Amino acid sequence: MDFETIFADILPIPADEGPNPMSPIAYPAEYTQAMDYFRACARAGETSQRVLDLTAAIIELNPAHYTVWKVRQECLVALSSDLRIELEYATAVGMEHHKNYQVWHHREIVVTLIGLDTQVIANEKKYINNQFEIDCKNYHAWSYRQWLVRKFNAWDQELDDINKLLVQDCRNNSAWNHRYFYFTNRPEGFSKEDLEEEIQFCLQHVRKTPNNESPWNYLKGIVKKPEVTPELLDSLVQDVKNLIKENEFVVHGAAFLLDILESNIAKEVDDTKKEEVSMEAKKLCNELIKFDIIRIKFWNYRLSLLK
Amino acid sequence: MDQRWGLCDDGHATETSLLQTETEDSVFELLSQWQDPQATSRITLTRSLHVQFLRKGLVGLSRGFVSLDASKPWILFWILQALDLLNEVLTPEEQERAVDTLNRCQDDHKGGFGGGPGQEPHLATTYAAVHALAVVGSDEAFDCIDRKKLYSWMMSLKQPNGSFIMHHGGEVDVRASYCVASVCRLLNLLTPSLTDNMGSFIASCQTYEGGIGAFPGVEGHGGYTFCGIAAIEILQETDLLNMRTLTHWAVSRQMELEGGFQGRTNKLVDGCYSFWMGGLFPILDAIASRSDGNPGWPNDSAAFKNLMNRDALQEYVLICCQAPKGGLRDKPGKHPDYYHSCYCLSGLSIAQHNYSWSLELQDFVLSPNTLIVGDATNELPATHPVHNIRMEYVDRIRSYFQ
Repeated sequence: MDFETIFADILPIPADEGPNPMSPIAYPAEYTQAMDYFRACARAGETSQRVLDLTAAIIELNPAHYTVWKVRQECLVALSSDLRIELEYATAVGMEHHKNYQVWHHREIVVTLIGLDTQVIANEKKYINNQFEIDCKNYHAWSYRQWLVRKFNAWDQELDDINKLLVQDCRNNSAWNHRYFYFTNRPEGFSKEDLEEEIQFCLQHVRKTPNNESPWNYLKGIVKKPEVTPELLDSLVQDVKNLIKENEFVVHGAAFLLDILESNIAKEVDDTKKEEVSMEAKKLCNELIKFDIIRIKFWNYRLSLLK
Repeated sequence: MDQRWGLCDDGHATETSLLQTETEDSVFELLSQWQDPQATSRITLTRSLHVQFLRKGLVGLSRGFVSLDASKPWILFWILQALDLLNEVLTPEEQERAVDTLNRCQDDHKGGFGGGPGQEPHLATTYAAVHALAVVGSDEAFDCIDRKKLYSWMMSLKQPNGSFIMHHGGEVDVRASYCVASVCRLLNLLTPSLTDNMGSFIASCQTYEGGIGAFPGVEGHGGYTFCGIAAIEILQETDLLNMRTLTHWAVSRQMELEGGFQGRTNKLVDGCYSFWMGGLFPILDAIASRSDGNPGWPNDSAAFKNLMNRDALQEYVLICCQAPKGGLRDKPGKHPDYYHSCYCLSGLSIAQHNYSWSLELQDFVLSPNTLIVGDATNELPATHPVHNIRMEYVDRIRSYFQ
């Protein structure tokens, strides 16, 4: 960008870092020049095409410059810029800088300005999925997805996309988290039938990969739902006990059972039954102490609660 | 190590398990060199190399750092906190320079600190600036903070649901709550208007796994969990969180083989989580000792005492995170940087010290006994589990603004 010509009428303002700044950065010359003009334009409150172009030049060198992004957003509004084209710009930057807060937040702002548009939403999901191909656990991408889905009630396709990712990698905890988000927030809610299906889904996973913590955590989450009947829970507990028997020991399975036994003990009125369940829980603790050594203090603490 | 711990992929490898095995291999290569207990006692924190690495950063940064031009207060906080934990003293000239540089990031008009001179004030850089000034600790450092403007700027960021946006036109997330709470506690700016609903927003970010995410619904994550729980601890509203699931989630993040922490389920170990996750444990202890939480642990949770494996964490930092030429890093194979130097050392400090909650002083206090892995000279001063600056610096700045 030829600053001197385009900003001929502007007096650039140099940075005021002081006489002897700490940790001064050896800025590239083009950055210093761009920032000097940016300072001048920002002080004058200018929002124009040339300032918009200037923000792009700075973002290229420092995509984390949130002040510059803010001015870019102000320019877009002032100029009534084509926001769909702006999304293409955001995509270009986002595909270079996958974990940058500002570029994801910029998308949010632009999409909000566009408003409800099914094509835009479909494109956004495509963009997010493209990001998942690079990093299927990108926290910003998942956060943005949840924002998008909630804001525009765009629940279609979610379960399909989650399932695709879980087929690719059953250990993708972000996908499991999104599954929980999906079932607990979608308008039709989470019926007893859904719950039973989800329990079976988890059991399939933990039978295949018993040492995969993600489905166990998800299971722990869903069995807290009020739709879970005592019968359903008992049946599940039996399935988990069988699983532990079939494998040498399953740490996550034992931890899952321990939680349930603890809550049963609290609810139990019959002293003999209480003692029986306590014994079972203590046995689990002792096994966890033996097999999950890094967490020995935690399991010892849980054992102490049973005494 | 007669038996190799770590991942069991159940015969079904996926990208997650392959990356985990790769990490375990490179970590095991280093850890296995120190298996003999006699050898372990000789592990040394290579202080002078780290000091050299850090001090170079104070002098100047290469053009590659242009991408951190909106994070100057962070650069200063990371370096000054790390140097301070290494017992490096700044000269009066350096102190002046640090204060001047940070002060120029302060917004004269709105209040708060931005990423550099003339930049929009931002909660994260405000946190970094105030905490860096607290490390410097001179009267000049404290006097440069415009508390009045800072407070009204923070109030302008507050959202109806109790959350805060990071800057005007910026994003909402739980980091903002921590930045507000930590800064305001140090500067004596906590008011009911500011803190109203803060706790309930944070609590709404707790997930089914027990950790805390950036905002409601998103995955529990070490960084956000630390921010959430530290903030809610400052607010003394820990009864809003489920302490059982939070504790279970927290202990589950410590890696069986590596000894360090991962930030999320099924992700890789990273040295910075030594602080974000490690720092949770003294706070969890305090909460247990007060029987807070919903549900919390039963009364008289005296047995609940620092549930992480402190030895394993220290070993991970000392054996795997020290770069041979100075500075600390995420994991073997990664380059050291100022951020990881700060948080690896902060995590090491947390793991070495015994913290407890004093009802009388309404703050964390230290017991004299420490747990130092390796050479006795590895001992670092105790960093405060909530604010992550030296314990005495917290008292110093709070007294100044009483």
